Formats: sequence, C-alpha cells, structure tokens
Amino acid sequence: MAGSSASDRGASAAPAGFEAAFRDHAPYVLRVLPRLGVAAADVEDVCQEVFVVVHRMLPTFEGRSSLKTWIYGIALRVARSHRRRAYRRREIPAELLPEPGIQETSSGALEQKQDLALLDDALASLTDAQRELIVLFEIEELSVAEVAQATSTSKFTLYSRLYAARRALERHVHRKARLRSKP
Amino acid sequence: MSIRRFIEHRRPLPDALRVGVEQARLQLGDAEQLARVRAGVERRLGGPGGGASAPPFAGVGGWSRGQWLLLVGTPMAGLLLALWLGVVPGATATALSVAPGEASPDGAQLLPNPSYLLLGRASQPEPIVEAVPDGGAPLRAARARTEPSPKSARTLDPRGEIEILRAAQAALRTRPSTSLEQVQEHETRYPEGVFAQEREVIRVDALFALQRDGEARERVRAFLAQFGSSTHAPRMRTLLGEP
Repeated sequence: MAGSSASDRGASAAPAGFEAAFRDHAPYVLRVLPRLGVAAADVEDVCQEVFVVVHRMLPTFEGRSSLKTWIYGIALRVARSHRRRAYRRREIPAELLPEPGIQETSSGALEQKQDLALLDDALASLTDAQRELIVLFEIEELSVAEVAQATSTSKFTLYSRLYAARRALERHVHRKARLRSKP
Repeated sequence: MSIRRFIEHRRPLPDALRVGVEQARLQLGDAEQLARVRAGVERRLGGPGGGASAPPFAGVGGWSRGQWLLLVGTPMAGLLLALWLGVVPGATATALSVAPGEASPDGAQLLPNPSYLLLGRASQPEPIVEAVPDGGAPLRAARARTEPSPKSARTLDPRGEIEILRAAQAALRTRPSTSLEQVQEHETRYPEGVFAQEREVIRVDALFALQRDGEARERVRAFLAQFGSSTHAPRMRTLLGEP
C-alpha cells in the first residue's frame, strides 16, 4: 500500500480521512483479494465491502498499527467470509476463472498467465491461515510485525506457520513437476 | 541478518513461484476498477441514491466541489455575460447554443457552447469567450487556452503503464537489458506515473541481473530516500544488506 501518507498516521471519521484511506489503499486491496481466493468476478464487490467496513470502523481506529495494516486485516476477514459464502453457494473457485487484465496477445503474456496460474494453484493448496501469511509476506511484502498485526497472530506462531506454508508450497510444486514429467 | 532474510534463508519460497509473485505484485487495481468500486461504496454508504446518511467522499456524488462549481457556474457566467452584452452598446452575444468551432452565419468563429461542460467533459480546455462586434466589423475568433495547466500535465494511463512494466518484468529473467530499456521507456512516457515505485524496483532487479551492482545500489538508496515507507522498501533494504 502507499507508504507515506497522511492517512497512515491515523485517521478520523471525517469523510476526508476515509477518502484518503480509499485513495491510498484501494489499489492494494484490489491486488490482494484475488490472491486471497476471491473470484475475479467478485473482486470489486468484495473490495466495496472492505471499504464499507473501513468507513464504519474508521472512528474506532486507534492507530496502534498503521492504517495500511489495519485495512489489510479487514480485507483478510472480509475475504475469508466471502470464501465461506462462495463455498456454501458452490461457486466456481477463483483459481478456475480466467485472470482479468492479462490478454493472451503474446507468448510473454501467456507465460505471465501461466506463472500466475501456478502461483494461484499453489496458494489454493494451502490452508486459509497459511495462504494469508504467504500473500501478505511474499506478495504484499509486509514485515513480520505487520503480518502479525493484520492476522492477529503472535510472531512465534507466524514464523512456524510461515515455515510450514513454504514447505507445503515446495511439496505442491514438486508434486506438480512430477505430474508434468510423467509420460 | 534481517528477519525477512533469515526466514528466506531457512526455507526460501520455491523458485517456480517467484516469477508469479513478482507478477502478482504488479496487479494493482486500475483507474476504471477504482472508479467502479468508489461508486459502489458511495451507493452502499448513502451517496447519491444510496440513502440518507452523509456521503463517504468529500465530493458530492463523486464530483469534487470544483467540478460542481464549474457545472453550475459556467451557465451562470454565460447568462451574466449575455445580460451584460445586452446592455453594452455595440456589442451582442451570439451563438451560445452552437457547437464549438462551427462558423456563424456571418463568418465568425462561434463561441463554444458551455453545454458541453454539462456532458462531463469539464476537463477540456476552457475557451475564452470574447464579445463579437455587431454590424459586420472584422470578427475575432474565439481563442481557446490549449496549454495544459501544470496540474493537468500529469496524465493518468495506468493501463499503458502496466503494459510497459509487465513487458519489463517478463524480460527480467532472460533479457535484463530489454527490461531496462522498457523501464526507461516507462520513465520517459510517465515521469510521474502511478507505478513509479514498481518501475524502480524492476530497474534495480535489472541492474543487479546485469551485474551493475554499484548503479543498482545507488538506485536502491535513491528509492529509499524517496519512498522510505513503501511496501517495497523492506525488500530494497535487504538488497543493501540492511535490516
């Protein structure tokens, strides 16, 4: 998310504070949601939900974490709840839907799509908690302390989960490689 | 050793996924998506047609105060001008309802129709309205201010930016020099682009890949000086070996 902004220093309930929060952080929420298992078709709706919650909760934001971390925390919870609802409705999982924004106009684009599909496939093989950690730590490049705040997890738990998540990803990648190498 | 580096050292992310991760980082929401989400939030929170509570954004119904002033103020200004011209001897207002650039029956370049501002194109160059003398005297054409203001000089084209940066990212592994060229093209075309940080990250990676470590480190330092609290900053710091 945008690094240094007025909104990062704490925000008020005033619409101006919300507007700054939206301007600074919405692009990053839109980026993180698909990796958290939200179907491409639902990303905008879920992003709206996130910011409706942000708007409602902004007066209670105490500035114990950065606004960025706080909004990521909300995004995680809204995405989790959306995944559960989507599962109950037996919708097509996100990873089976085409990735928006990447057109197969060249071999480069196709390669990009394959790389992203591989990542999404690997993320889908993780538990929800592991997936959230990998997304925040690896893709969003949050620090360990920030991930701990966003996920309400202790650092110790986070380290062991991160270790387990990476091992699970390795296993998944090896399994896929073995399947591909079979005649 | 930083905590991040320690974790990466103990069990690194599989190489097969690293490229996907880099590409995922480039997938920020674009301007169109953001506009749709913003409109949706506004609808849900009581913006136009969404209920009675206060609108979530400072602008009214997604329009800034300036846009509303322009919208309401322009016809009012036109009306006042018409009234003023009506009382000044030897001058008359003409063609306020004719399309901009169209010739009047007496050969004058007509005054632009302020109604085009009502079509949501308020960002078009604002024409300077001049009185057209009566009685077949030489007519002055309406001039338009075409120089963009310093504020509007920054054009937003996130799609174009992403396209170049994706190409740069894709070339990073196999052709870092091409990647560097793409980055430079991005800088030329979008010096104040939305993805300036991402551009610098790719540039640094490309420089390291080309073994131009000194230059890469300089770029990292410049990046950290400019975007010290960026989400990319921790990774950039690790490149300098900082915690």
